[in-house]
Amino acid sequence: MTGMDSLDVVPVVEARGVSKTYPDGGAHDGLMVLHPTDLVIASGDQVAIVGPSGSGKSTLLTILGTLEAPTTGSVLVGGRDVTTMREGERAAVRAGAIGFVFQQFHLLPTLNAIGNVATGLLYSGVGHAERRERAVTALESVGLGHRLDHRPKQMSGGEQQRVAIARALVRNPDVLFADEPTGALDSATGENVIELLTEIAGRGTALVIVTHDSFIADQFARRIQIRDGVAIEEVPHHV
Amino acid sequence: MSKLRRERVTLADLIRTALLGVTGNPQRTALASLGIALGIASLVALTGASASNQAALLASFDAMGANLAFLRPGLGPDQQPVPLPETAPEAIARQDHVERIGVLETAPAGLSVFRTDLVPETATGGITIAVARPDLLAALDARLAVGRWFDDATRTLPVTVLGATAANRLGVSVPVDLLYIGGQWYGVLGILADSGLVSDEIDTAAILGDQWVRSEFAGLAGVGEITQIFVRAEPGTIDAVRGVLANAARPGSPQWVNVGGLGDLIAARELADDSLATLGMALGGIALLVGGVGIANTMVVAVMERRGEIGVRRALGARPGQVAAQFITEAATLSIIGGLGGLVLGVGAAGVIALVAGQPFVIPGLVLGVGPVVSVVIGCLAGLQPAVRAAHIPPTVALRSA
Ligand SMILES: Nc1ncnc2c1ncn2[C@@H]1O[C@H](COP(=O)(O)OP(=O)(O)OP(=O)(O)O)[C@@H](O)[C@H]1O
Ligand SMILES: [Mg+2]
Repeated sequence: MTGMDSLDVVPVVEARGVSKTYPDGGAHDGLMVLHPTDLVIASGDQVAIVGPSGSGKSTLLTILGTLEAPTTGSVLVGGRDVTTMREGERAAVRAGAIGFVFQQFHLLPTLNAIGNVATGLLYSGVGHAERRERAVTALESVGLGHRLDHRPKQMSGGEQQRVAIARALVRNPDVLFADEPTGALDSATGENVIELLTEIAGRGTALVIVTHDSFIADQFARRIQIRDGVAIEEVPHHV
Repeated sequence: MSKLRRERVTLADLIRTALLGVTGNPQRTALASLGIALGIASLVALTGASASNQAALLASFDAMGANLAFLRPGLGPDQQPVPLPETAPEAIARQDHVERIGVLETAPAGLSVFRTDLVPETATGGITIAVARPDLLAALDARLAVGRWFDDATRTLPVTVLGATAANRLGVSVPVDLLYIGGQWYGVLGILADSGLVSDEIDTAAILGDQWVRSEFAGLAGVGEITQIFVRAEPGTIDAVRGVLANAARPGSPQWVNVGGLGDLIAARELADDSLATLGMALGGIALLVGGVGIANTMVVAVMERRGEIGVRRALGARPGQVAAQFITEAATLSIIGGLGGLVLGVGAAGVIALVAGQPFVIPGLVLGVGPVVSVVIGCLAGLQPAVRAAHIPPTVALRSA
């Protein structure tokens, strides 16, 4: 980012008319699980995507996160159209700008906490020693400085999710996508995780979260409702 | 946005990640590398055993004379034998690949061998006279059953060394007897052990020292002339050596020199050389193929089981090629572990086989180097298909199915 930010802000992520259609046995044109959607996410935005099960929340999130290609429309990350990129370049965009947190944590079971977090930098061109240093710092910042050598199996769900958050934030992403990050946690633990995520977002990283929990959703400045594949942003209001 | 550079994963990181995958499931690693271990082990053990076997066989062939050549006087223009020049032994000894030579000189005609001076001259046939320079014993790889061979002192004395057959026919077994040769008493210096094929003519001979004969029989026809030169070549070089002998012995007129050898033995040696080595390679190769299939199998299962990991790595920015490289490296690592284990196993097995068979323990250095290289190649090949498959799993599919 340059000093031109205030004059000409490039959105962190921008979706232009993205839709997703899955083929449906050939009977008709297929099932449109996400109808054409426009969306702009700016630096530091906090966005909650809510809606019933099967409505297309994860679909929208993975398209925004460049993990899945939209059927129509395009996604721009930092002003670059990722939908026309080759997969290798898209991977570089992810490595440089995007962090993910998953409902099932997805930690690597054979690695301890440091190893898991350091893996977050493996594909970003950071050397081994620096990866581990930064992993320790990131783990300390999520309050796990005392569990550096523990493997996922030796940690509670909340601790595992905090390791996963450290893995995402160790790379200083421009945007962090979290698909039901509290879905596998009890409500108190989930609340801690949300606090941690919003705190990170407060430092300038945009945060896009999918949640079932309206109590959680209410804490976010922007809310996008999806119903049957149609995404509608609620009118902005003050928290 | 300098953040969009396509970053490389270093080889060290690749290996670190592969080791993780390998140590993550030690039991499977052991089972997967077992195939390669057995393959390399059988390659090394069989090649080693056949090399040991071959070394033993070749040694015995060589002892029988497969690496021995001999020169005799050829016929000159007048159809008369032309004695070998006195300079020939030295010239031949200087040739490449010639290990050692031995020289026989012409024996004085008309000498007979008796135990006493009382037996009529016609009574003991079948024993010849040979005149040897001291280097003959080593050139023939002959051994003494008892007593000693000629040295610089005894080659000038009236003493004889008997071939095994000659000693047998004369009934002499202890070198304390005297023999009556050509009207003169000789001490028995030693008796040669039965030497098999090479020195038939030596076995039936009473051998006299060259310098004794030169002084005692000076002036007799042929005395002091070289009648035969034995040439021992370095193993496996006999063909090359034979090619240069005649010209070395008599530069300018090699056609007057007769070069001979034990042709069938040479051919048999070459045959043994090839067939055993080929057998070792073939059996090891089959075992390796089986090992490679085992690794491919393991990697297919690993890719299915670790879809979640693949999805996470893709989400973290791994390119498809980097995912593929990870699994190929992992397969290669499994294979190397197997290969090194197999190397140890194979060398041990070959050692035991050689020990039990009483053969020299030989492991061709090439196999030691080739083993690990071959296992890396096999590992990469075995990992290729599963790795490409892993690279092609879409990240969302990988994450969802985990
Ligand atoms: N690969 C696919 N093939 C066909 N249909 C799919 C595929 N992936 C998702 N869908 C369908 O798309 C729709 C939206 O799925 P999505 O996972 O986005 O829902 P969601 O809102 O995240 O639901 P949940 O709250 O249960 O996670 C669902 O009806 C689902 O069945
Ligand atoms: Mg979902």
